[in-house]
Amino acid sequence: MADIPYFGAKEVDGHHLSEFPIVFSANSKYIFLCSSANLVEWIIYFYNSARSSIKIYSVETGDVVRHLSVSSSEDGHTGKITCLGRNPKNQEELVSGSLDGKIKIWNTRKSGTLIATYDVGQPIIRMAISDSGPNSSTRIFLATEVTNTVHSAYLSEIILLTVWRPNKSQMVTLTRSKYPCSGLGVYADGSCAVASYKMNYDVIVFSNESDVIVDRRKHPKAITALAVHPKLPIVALGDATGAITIIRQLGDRSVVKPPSTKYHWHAHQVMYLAYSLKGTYLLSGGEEGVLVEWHIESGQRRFVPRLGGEINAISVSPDDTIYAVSLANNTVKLVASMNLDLKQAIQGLHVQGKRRLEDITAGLTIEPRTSNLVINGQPGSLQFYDVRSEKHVLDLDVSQQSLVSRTDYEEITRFQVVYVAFSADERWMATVDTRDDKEHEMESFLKFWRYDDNELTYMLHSRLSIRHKETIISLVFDNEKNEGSPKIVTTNIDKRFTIWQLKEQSNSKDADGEVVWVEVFNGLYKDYNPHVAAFSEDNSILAVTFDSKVTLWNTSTYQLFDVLDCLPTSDKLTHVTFINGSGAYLVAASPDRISVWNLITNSVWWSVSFPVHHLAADADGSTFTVASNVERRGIKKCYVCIFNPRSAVPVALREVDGNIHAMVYLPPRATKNMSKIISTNSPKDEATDITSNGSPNIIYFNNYCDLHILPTIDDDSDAIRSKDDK
Amino acid sequence: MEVNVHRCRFIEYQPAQINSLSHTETPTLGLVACGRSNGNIEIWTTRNNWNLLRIIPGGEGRDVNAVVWVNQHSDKMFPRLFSAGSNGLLVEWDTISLKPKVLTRVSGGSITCMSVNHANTFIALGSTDGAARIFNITNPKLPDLYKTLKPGKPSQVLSIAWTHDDKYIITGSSDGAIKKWDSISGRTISTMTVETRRKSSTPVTSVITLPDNTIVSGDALGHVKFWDGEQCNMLQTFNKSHLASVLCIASNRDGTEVYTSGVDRKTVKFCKVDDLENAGNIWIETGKKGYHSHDVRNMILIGDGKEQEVLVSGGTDPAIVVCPIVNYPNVTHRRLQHFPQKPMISISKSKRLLVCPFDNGEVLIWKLGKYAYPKEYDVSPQNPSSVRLSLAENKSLTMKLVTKSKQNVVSCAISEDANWIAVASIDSVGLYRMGEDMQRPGHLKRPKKMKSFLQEMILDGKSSTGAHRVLFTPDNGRLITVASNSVIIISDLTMWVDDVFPELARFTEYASPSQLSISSISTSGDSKWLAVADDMAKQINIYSLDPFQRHMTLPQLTPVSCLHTSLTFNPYSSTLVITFANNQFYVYDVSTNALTRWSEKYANVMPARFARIQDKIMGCAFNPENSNHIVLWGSGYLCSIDMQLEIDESNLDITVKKRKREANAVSANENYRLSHHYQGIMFVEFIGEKEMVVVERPYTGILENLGPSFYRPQYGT
Repeated sequence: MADIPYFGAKEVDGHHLSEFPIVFSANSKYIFLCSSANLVEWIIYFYNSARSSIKIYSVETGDVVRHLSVSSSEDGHTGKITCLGRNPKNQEELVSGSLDGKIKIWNTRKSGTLIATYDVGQPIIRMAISDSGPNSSTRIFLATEVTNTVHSAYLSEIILLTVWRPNKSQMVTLTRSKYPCSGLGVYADGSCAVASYKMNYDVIVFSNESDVIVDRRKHPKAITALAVHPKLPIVALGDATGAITIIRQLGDRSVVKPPSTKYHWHAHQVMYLAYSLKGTYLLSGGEEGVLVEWHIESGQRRFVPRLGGEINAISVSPDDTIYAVSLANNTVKLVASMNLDLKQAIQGLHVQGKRRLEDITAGLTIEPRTSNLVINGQPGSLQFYDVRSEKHVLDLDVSQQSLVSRTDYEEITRFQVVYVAFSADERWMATVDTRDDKEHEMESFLKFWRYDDNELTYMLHSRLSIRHKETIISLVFDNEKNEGSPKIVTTNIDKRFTIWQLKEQSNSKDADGEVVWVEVFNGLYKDYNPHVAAFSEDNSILAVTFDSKVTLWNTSTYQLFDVLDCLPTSDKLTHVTFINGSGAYLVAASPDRISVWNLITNSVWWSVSFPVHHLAADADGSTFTVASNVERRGIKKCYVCIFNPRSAVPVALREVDGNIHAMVYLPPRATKNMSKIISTNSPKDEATDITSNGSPNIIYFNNYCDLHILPTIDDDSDAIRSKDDK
Repeated sequence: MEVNVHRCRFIEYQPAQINSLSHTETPTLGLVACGRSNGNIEIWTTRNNWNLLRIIPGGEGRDVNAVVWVNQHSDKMFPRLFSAGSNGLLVEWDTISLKPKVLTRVSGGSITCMSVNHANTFIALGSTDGAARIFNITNPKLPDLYKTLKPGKPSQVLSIAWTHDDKYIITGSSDGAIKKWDSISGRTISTMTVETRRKSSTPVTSVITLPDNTIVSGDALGHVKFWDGEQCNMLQTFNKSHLASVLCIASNRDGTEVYTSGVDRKTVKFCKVDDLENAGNIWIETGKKGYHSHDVRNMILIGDGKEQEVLVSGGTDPAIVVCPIVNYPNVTHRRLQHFPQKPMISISKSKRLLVCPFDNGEVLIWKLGKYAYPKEYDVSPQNPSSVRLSLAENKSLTMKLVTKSKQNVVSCAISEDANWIAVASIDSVGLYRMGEDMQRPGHLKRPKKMKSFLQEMILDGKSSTGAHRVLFTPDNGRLITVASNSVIIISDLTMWVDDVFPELARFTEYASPSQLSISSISTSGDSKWLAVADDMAKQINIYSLDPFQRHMTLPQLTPVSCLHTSLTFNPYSSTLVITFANNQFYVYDVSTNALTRWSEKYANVMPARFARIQDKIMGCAFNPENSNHIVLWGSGYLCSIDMQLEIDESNLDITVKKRKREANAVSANENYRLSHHYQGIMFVEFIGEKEMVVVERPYTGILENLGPSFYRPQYGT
């Protein structure tokens, strides 16, 4: 296998967008450079990945306009960027802090040049900037993780970085704590900084140029969020019980007991607190997914409910017109502060928000209409995502259950979409969503959705409740490309497989006729358990696996006409597919063996012992891809092999980091020209279309919840490297 | 010690709700008056960690809506006490005889609120006819109507307050108006109105003034508003602090802190803080705490800066709650005892009868049940303390005695042979002859009132005088009556002819030269001695009952400031147990005229865990098996003391941790063994060898009868 070519993988962009608060740019010359006649704000914001970068989005369009700190080899951060802030001295400049222990100042105007770098030496978690340091210096307060072994008893350290000029700075450690810093803020006049930990908080008072007094105070509940009033010496603390405590005159030594007021609305912990520009309103958010706007003076509240996810962070634009809410489902929503209307949403893949593999229950599917990727979104819904342009397309609520947050500590078991399939005629989608809380009887529904050309989305057509003993274990449409009566096959755990067909309702008086899905055939094979099914390309043959056997059925008469026995293995077959294009081959795979039959000769063409975790067939081409996960000494890897059914020797082999959790073929883009037009307008045209042209690509999800694209072999020469080249 | 306990929970004593609280400071005592809806006015003192001194009994139709102290002469021990209620009477009370001193009829219907000015010269009353009336009370004989403040529109005055310069009166009324009146001319200066909801006006249920001329109002919408007292415009409003009506507001003396409470049971603290944006001050809400189970109707703030300031509140749940305000709301409150500190229950040990008086002149008599002796295997050796014995005979209510007087009964007693019952109220004493019914053995005869006994009690030609205490001697031969003028009268029950009971003796040491309020009396087991004490412990006298003469006056046992709580003769010897409000007690031998040797040695030595108990000692029970063994009891504990054992002085104080551990495992030979097994103890007595009666009235039992309180469903419940 020496000459099996290797091929390279690319990561799909659009990762975690909403873990940390975003920063608005000040109203700047960018507005005037923009051709838009409307008032345009730019928001700057970043995401976390090993190679983290700062992205600049337009508020108006929601598109990326620029990247900062792209590559770690040049000026960029080598670690995850955790905090951003505008330089108060020069609003055009952006300060960023990262886990690599560096503070960098960027010019956002001149195509993002780096102005200065300060090495703090410890991973930076939080940052607060004040421009009222001594001798007109800028004070940057940093909450860092302690890596120094001398102070190993402490987990976090508050460091003050005073900057006079880009090359003149000073660094002082102010205080340490045994708990991670949960919030950091500085008064508007710079006289006092407040850092919160778990059950206490430090009030750091600068009495004159050099004197620093640190006063550690206790709080009855675990502090989870902190905000400082933008004008007055008022501090707001959010705690784990959902209460918000507003403390006045902290750090004022003439006040013995700073008066405090408690407000309680949140049922769960307060995730983030932010003051509006003038401090009139306090914004809070938490697990309930409701943005609360408090008018502190009167105690009045306004709510923005049903944001769709837990709130991670809130930012207020410098002109006080927009609240940006970062949600845990990898979405940033911009809300107008006047009427609390949604202005703009920037969405990544929802499943990457919490990075829980168990949320990806339906695997990856390609919608044939648009070649969009279909993946589990929020619990109970599907997300349609354009992989090529890295844009969110559609959220489809499959379970149609309202999103409620838990009442107690126990998590709510929600509906999950477990199977999704599309008909080849691009009109129909079938889904199975279930909820099993292990306590009550499992709920499961088979739903048929019809594409609505006016609404440009799928509308629920019919819903079928599935009893527990009939639980569906696979779902596949036939390959009928003409509109008419598509068929769908479900295999159930009651040893039957069911063929459903779309039929016109006979007793309907309308000429048009309502269409209904009718159960046309129930098939059994001895006492074996069916698992997966596949239709041949011309729809004449249906293959259903029963344990270790493949049964072939005539799709017009529903008669069994052949049984292929997959000797020598007695394992259950978990994958079956017809390979189109290059003759009549049938591929069946069990977890440790691949077998290929030639249906013309009706014999086993080849069979190799190979661990198979995922198998995907190219819809138009003549290859299939097998992914086999391995874990050696705790390191997870995966071998991706591309086979041609004619030969047991792989066409290509690739070793990728991490285990593959789901895999699908992405068909080549139909209209190449469109992407070219878009990419000429974008400053980063290479990054816009990351798929290699012309050939199908493999998309996979690894166990780190990263989405990757593997281009398959083809003319793209630098994507193919021989193993000998390495 | 093993004893079988009759755990009695059948006495459904229900204290009335608290309507009004008032506080005053005298040189020796801090006094709090608590007016209840059954007309009772309790006089508490803050000294000795809250002690209930006296109860002015009420009666039917005499509910107290407002009560104030008028402290005109700060050197007097008891200031003047005024109360007003729905019957439209302004009453000044004699706090020693517990009878009304001056009754003034106020026209204008039921009186809802009352306030005294800061110079203690005028009282302002608000009535349901909408008018506020000012009475001049400088004349000690009679309050004069000074001015009537009549509004244009009729509405009820619900709250009233004087400004701190005494020039103006602020009233809050049911039509949502807060009016500022000139107290001299009687004219309205200005009117402030609160918002309405659904076009119906919002009653202003409470209003107070602060030294800086700010007016604070609370209304039925739950809004707390701060007004400028000069210009009468609203400064601030807190609409979200309370979910329902604000019923009471209290402020500290400087006017920097304001506390509000009401139907939603939460007490909210407001603080005056510097306005950070402009010069001046603003109010902010700084804390919220809920410790009442029902509506909070009245609240006062006590403390003048020297002592720890406390918030005292009361309402529909009938116990007064005392809550310190330093570090509010992170404080622990204390609920005061919800029934009188003097045991109301009287018992006939041999006949096993229990007598308890109720409001409106009712007296109930129960017969105790009998327990079945446990079989050997029933007694689990692991936990012998909590064996539940089965009943051979259940308790039964044998008699319900309704006196004609609708006054609340202050004291009642049953003679040991159950032939006599004496019922005392504040204006009459009734003596009833009962005895066993011959036709139905084990049952009592219908009580027959001894009519002429009343005549006997008329003293010096004055109108009928009631009594504070009645007591039978253990030999059933004599009745001791403490009349409301503090004269002790002893009547003979053995030689009665035609309902005429000869008076044997009369002791007047407590009536003159200055009247003292007698709080406890006790007779010795051989009916030879009578011990009498007043509640200030100024004079504890021992009288001989044969011949009738004063035997001696006890020397001063404790420091002057300490109040006396109970007095009990040992029924088996001539010793007397005298308890004090600081949990000290003395054992005095009357025959030798000296403290017993044990008491002399250990009177000032007691374990810290006993000294720390906040519930006052209510009485003492003597073990018939061992005359040296006594059980001291308060509302929340029983303490067993063996007066033969030494007290190990080295191990007097133990840590909290150790205390908790020892609560379960009590060492056998330890003195001062405490039991907190019973709560809300009203009465404890031995009725035989190894047989004890404990009458409990747990607080939860009282709350069960109160009905639902304010409830708002909360998220997640």
